[in-house]
Amino acid sequence: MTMSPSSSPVAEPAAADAEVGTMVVKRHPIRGILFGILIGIGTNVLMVIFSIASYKNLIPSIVMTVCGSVIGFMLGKYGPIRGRRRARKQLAAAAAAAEGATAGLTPA
Amino acid sequence: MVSGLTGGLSQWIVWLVVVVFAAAPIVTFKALGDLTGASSVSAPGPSDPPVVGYGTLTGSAECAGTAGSFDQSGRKIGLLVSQPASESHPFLVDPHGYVQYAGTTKSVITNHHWSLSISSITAKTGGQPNAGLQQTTSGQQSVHQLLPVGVTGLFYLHGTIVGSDGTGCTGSLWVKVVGSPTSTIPFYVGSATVLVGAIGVVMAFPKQQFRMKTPQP
Repeated sequence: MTMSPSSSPVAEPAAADAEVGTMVVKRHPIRGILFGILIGIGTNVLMVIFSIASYKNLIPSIVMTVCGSVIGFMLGKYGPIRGRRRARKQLAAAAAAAEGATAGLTPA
Repeated sequence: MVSGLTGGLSQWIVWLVVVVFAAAPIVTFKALGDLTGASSVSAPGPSDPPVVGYGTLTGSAECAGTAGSFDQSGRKIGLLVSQPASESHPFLVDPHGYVQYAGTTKSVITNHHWSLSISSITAKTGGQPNAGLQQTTSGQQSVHQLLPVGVTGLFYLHGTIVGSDGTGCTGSLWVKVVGSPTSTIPFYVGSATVLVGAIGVVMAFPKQQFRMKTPQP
């Protein structure tokens, strides 16, 4: 099995590896936090202008934004993995190319 | 690690949840505001009497006051009376209208400093020496001058005025700015923020990548 070093932001080797390369999973927890905060802030604004939420102080609003960032973090860290099909295609193409090259080198 | 979420079906489910999470507030709020009026940010009807709002006024200076709010056509929509402030009895205000107010104090407040906060955030401050030893005030204030950006909703206002000798008053009330939320800039800003956030969170999902093995020399 081929191991690959961790890459930024967070990368770790996946199960499906090949001699031609490695499948890695990149995770984006920081990106998730930042966009989760945006969702929290936007939802707060909407709730206030529709009179659904009215605050005597900002604590509920801050709690909601923090919840958004936690959801974003969880999805960025543990959410569903994107790009599996494309990565598999690339792996197959690389494997086929490697096989072709090996066949070309083998004497008839 | 939660690896059970990596299957095809679960991926679609999570996508669906994220889309619903992003779209639900916008769709719900718009429906509430436009169809049912359940967001209750509408002004009273043309034949309805002005809605009575409660405001608390306490302090050593024994302040008293009242206010009325009018829409842009001059119709009275809100009346403020001295009662303990209540979220269920807000003072209605039209963003294009104006407010007439009058207040008195039993003690003269000199060299005073006043502040007004919205949801515990200080919005305005000021002060005057009150050389004329005034004990009454009255006037008219355009709402648009105070809220240049159109906004609707229910807000908690808290104000204080304190003189150099410590006499002063404290007041609080809930203010409801009436109107259509969907025609305000914050509606579009909020919607855009939620959408950008949702797209960003989806883009933040873990991504599988294939890396070519670097040939050994």
